[in-house]
Amino acid sequence: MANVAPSKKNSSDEPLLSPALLAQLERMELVSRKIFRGRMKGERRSKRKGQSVEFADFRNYVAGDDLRFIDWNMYARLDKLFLKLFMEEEDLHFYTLIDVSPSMQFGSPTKFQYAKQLAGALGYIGLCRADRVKIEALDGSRNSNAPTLRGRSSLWQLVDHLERMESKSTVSMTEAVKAFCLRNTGKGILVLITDLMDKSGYEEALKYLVARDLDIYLIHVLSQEEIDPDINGDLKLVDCEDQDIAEISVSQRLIDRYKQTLGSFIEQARDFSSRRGIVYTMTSTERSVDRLVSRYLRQRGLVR
Amino acid sequence: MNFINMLTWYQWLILGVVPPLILSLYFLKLRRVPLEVPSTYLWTKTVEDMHVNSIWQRLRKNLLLWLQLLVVLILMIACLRPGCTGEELAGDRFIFLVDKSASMSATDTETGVTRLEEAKNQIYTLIDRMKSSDAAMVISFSDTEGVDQSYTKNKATLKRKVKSIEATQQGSDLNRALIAATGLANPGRTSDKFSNTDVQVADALAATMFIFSDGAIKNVSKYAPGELTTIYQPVGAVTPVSNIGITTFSVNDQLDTGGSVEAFVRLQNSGFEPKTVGVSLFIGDQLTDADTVTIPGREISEDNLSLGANDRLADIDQSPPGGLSLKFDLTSVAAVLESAAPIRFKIDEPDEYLLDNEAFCVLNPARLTNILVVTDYNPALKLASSTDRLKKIANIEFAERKFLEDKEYQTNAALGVYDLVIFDQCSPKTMPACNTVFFAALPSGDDWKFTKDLEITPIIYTNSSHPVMFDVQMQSVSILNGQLIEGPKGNTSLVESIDGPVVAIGPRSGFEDIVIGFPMILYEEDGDTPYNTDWHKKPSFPFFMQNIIRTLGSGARFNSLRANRPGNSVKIKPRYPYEEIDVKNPKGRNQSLKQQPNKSFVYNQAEETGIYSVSEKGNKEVDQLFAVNLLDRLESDIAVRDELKLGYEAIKGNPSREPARRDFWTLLAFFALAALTLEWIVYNRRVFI
Repeated sequence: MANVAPSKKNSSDEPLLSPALLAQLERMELVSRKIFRGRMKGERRSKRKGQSVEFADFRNYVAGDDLRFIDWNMYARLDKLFLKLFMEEEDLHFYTLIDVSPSMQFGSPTKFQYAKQLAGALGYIGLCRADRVKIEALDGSRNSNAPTLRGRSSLWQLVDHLERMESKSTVSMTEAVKAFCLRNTGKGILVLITDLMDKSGYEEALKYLVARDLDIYLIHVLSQEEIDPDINGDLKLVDCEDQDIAEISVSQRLIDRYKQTLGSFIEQARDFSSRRGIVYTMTSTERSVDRLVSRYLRQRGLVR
Repeated sequence: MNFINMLTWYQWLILGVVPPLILSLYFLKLRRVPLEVPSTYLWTKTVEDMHVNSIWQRLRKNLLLWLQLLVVLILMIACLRPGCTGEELAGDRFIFLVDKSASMSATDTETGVTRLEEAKNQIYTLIDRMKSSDAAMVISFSDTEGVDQSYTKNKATLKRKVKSIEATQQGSDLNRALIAATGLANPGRTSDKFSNTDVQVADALAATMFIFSDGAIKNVSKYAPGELTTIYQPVGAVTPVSNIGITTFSVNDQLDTGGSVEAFVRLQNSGFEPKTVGVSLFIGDQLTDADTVTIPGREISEDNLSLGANDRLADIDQSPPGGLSLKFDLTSVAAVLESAAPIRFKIDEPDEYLLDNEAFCVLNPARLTNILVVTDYNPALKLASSTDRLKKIANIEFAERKFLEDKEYQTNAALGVYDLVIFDQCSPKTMPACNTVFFAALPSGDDWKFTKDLEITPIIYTNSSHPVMFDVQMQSVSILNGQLIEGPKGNTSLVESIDGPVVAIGPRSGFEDIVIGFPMILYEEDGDTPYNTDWHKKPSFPFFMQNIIRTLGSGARFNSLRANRPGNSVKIKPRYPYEEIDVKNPKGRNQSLKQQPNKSFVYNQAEETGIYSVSEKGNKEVDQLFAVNLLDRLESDIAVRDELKLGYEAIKGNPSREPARRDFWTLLAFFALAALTLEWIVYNRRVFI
């Protein structure tokens, strides 16, 4: 009976973000399908008219307006006072939520490691574009110690934070998301990296996020062992989170059936997401992070 | 439904251990290897899906176990050998006596096969019912018996031997078969009464003997079963079928009918109803005569008239079969006959038993018997030999005693030209190759002796059962001088005086010599020739002369009259002294025979009824024909006897014609195989969870 148990590979000795990947990421930027109001001046066009160099519109002068913005050429031509409006550029809230349940510790590399890499990569893109990057673990804590980072120089902080992150939370996803929503009120892009393996269901959690009017991207990470299990014989499967037991005798029919169930599970998640404007992307840990970012997430419109 | 236990207790014990073993192995198998997974969420969902899909999931969960237990259970039941009828044979040893006589080829059985086949099927059933430790032997009998298979436990061998038994066209004689069977079942008895050095091949133990026969057998005079239990299993139709058979077919002796030649036929009806059949008589291949005759059925006594058909079995012994005699005049045909012609009598309508629907006979042109009488003077002999009757059948030559020195005599005597030589008060140096009669002289050699002189002695006994003494009454004959005779081994006394035998017949390498201890005429020294006896004045003398010429002369005429039965050896004396002859049987198969020392031939292959032809080896010209016929009243009476009389014991037939036991174990074995195959498929597909 040859059982290939999924290995819990601790890949902390590997660099989270390789220089090559960082170089590739520097050229990208995060794209929001919605235009949010930032807090500080950034590189992102805002709904507000501001003081950038990009012309936006004209409007009639009313008493009290700043005389510096009157278009004197217009006044010369039309003998009316018009005010010249420019686009405002602001920063963007970029949240990344990482599922830190023990189930993320499976796969090669582990799903957790993969999630951290992905969060790091996306975060770095945000840092490069002067967005407000915040990476949080879905551990349900009321007081998050996650730093809000801005600017390329904050990369070491970001990496440090990710590396300190541990996956041993047993809080349900709904609880964790609820706690996140209470803590953070800012609007922006949210990337949720999870394996969705929560027996209480992921739907409630997603609904909380949808209610926050965020631009949500759901990245569903599955290990190869979950997509195509290579197991054999009569097995007693033990759930790593709740120690639940499922007894199976592996047969081709059972494997086929499992794949069918997994397929419908993914389809359900995709369907649920698209109905609520969430961009769903399923990925395997086998797929490299740079490939995922440069190809799949670009296709989905998260980066450009 | 009943069961036969095929296993011993310890074998059962071993088999009984198997199901718990399977169960325990199954529990061992259920100890699953634990494996930690990210989530059992999808697996549980998958398993639940499959549970929902299958109503029989609970059963399927352990399908392999159930199948394995099923296979063992089926095998256990199969080992009990369930069957729906029949019972186990009681006893350890069995003797199957199979009648293979002609009547066993009748096809009046329920299934339409011959009685012999039916008997074989019944034996197969019995063999199947034998326990594995039982031994059985097979003896088949007709006129003769043969041990086909001595005691063996090998059922396959027994069946093979039973299968190899073939029907014969012979009568049935149970005597020797019973001697063989009882000899093997009883200690201290021999199974071969002709041998003093019979070695018992098996310990004599109690046995059960099954006789498979239709009961048409010759009476068994002596029967002492001893340790043998006899069961008679009648084979054939319960209700006797109507069979018309030929029981007699012969051509009469012209001598008895004053020159006319008649064929005599007797037909027998073994059924209860009268039956009308067409009959035909063929000479050669030519239809000579035909007729339609009605043969009356068995006579039923008035007491039994009210009984049903099935009860009639009991009547058979009391009521003889009905019969009809027919005569055909063949005088005109015989008158123009140039060579031997076969005669065939046939019943046109086929019935259940075909062997007795045809009978054969041969009409030979007369050959005169060559007889030499060596005497100097004997008017009595001359007178007795000159009757018209004898002249028709014999060529009697008279010669004086000095003729014995003649070369012509010596050549003829050595070649067997003579059929009979009568020596009157003389004896040859070497005995001729033919039968002889000596008056007051002894055959050369030391076999015969005169032991005592007699004077005026009364005759007190005549052996009238011997054909030579047929119709010869000697009690009133007076003899003046004579001598007592002592013959060789195997001689038979024909006439005895108060002191001992005076006439005797004894064998001599295939021939027979009659020595008469007194002369007819005394040759006195003065040349006077007075009679020594008054026999020549009595009617018994010409009868005696006629008898010896007919019996010892063995003219070809009598060949046709002699009844040859299938299986018997036939003694052939051709017309010319051939060195070798060919005998062609009715099927056209030739067999060459070499001359015996007594100048005759013995043919042992007359197994079939029909006409056999004899010719010189290499010569196609037919020397003579002879017929072999069954003509057995018992065999033609094909009604099945429900009782077998063995000695003083009457053995009732086993009335239940037991149908073959229907065994289910083969079916069960098939099911077990199917279950095993299913298990194999299940195991390979692993459709269970």
